[in-house]
Amino acid sequence: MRVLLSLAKLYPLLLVAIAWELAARAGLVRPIFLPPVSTVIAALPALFWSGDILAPLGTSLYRAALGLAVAMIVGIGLGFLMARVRWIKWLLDPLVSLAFPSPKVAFLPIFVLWFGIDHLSKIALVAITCVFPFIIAAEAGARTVSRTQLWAAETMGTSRSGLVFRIILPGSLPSLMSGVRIAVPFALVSAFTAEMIAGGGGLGGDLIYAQRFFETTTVFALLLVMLVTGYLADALVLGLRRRVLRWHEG
Amino acid sequence: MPATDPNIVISDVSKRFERRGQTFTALEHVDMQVAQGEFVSIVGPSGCGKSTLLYMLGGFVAPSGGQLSAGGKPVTGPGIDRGVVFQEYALFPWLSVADNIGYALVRKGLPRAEQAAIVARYVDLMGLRGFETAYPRELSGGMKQRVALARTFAYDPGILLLDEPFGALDAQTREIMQDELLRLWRSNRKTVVMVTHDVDEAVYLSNRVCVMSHRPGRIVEEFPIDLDHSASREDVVVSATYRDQRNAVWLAVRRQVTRASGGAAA
Repeated sequence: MRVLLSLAKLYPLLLVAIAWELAARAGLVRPIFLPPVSTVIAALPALFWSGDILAPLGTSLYRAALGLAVAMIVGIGLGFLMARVRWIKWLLDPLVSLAFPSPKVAFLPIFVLWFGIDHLSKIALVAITCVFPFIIAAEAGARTVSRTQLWAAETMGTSRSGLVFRIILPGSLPSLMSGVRIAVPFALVSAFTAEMIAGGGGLGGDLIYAQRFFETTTVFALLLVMLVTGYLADALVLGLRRRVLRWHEG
Repeated sequence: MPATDPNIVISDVSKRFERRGQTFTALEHVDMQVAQGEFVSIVGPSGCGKSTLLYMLGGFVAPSGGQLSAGGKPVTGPGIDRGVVFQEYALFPWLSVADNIGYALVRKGLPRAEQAAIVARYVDLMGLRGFETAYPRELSGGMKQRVALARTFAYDPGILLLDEPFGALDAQTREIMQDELLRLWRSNRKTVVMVTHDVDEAVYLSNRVCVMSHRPGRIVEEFPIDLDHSASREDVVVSATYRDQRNAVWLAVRRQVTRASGGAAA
């Protein structure tokens, strides 16, 4: 029943699909520019079984996940330091303010120059895109941990590293999970974008490749895979958030 | 009755703060001794630095001058020998009630069975049965302070430092919690230093009440309190002894508040 209800909420998608199908079928546009949605969906199983979806998807997810992991470790570390150490806050604040709103993809040519055309340059782009949401979320989160909570922990025999891992980290989780929710789509988008610009496989690379050969159906099919991937990743994050924040209101 | 060896010694302690290039003195020439097993309260006008003094005993704030020692050792930082209860509870909201109470027991590395037994004992003592798996946000203010007290009593520190422990509670809950604290203290006779702005609370609970002056804070008057707590709360509070001692402390605090407001009331 709940599944049916949540599916019912997706009806706007159905409306878009119907409009798309009708526009294509009525011959308003040539199929080479817009194939009918039914054709695109029909093409998916063949692409799936030939490995033309799973292989590039795996490549893209690998790059996104690794970059995300680097961003998470570095970002949480820097954010905590900014919340607790005044001179680090003083040092990093202007850098974060400058770099966070900058077009990170503009760094890609430099990363390709430094790290080559394969995985590393893409992972670097994902990492630099996602590090800022983590820095900001970690700093804000660490500030929600009160002075008296830290003092209480200290009187009860918590070591210095214990303060970070047992008090500041769990206390920051509500804020950090909001950071994760922003960073995960950022990671996917920057991995796909890097692949589209610099090539080197992955869903983004394959999509551009298909476009060059006017395989428009494949372009749309890969686009659908990207959309579903993003949707599922976000659903996963929301599920994770519910699990780890049961103690927290909202 | 308390033994004679001092458990806490504060000698000539001062504290100065810098704010916007200005120095102001929060505490000056504070001298105080607390005997083993004694319950001492510090009262005074707000802003007199009484909480700062407690934070120095806790080892969270360093004095600008003078020395503090607890249990014969100079205070250099927070330590497991001094348990602290804060007005705002300072619970860990991501831990259940039972895990909050057991927090220090895990840090101490006690065997699991022993941890569970101690937690269960304080859950019972503090009337928290049935709430072991609840999270702090699901509790009322009074319940949260019960957890905070249980958490501190559970690991058995020799000295208790209470910073306005019932300040955030409503009047009825506050009285109930005061009696809980009194009951716990009478059963284990820890050394207690409590900071409060509530004169009735200080007199009702303590062996001795110290009155601090307005900034720079000093201890200006001390009142030994002698109440018979084997009687009920009602009998104690309506007794002439309580009334006289309470009035004496209240007048002393009143003198400090009047002086602080520039003698406007005089």
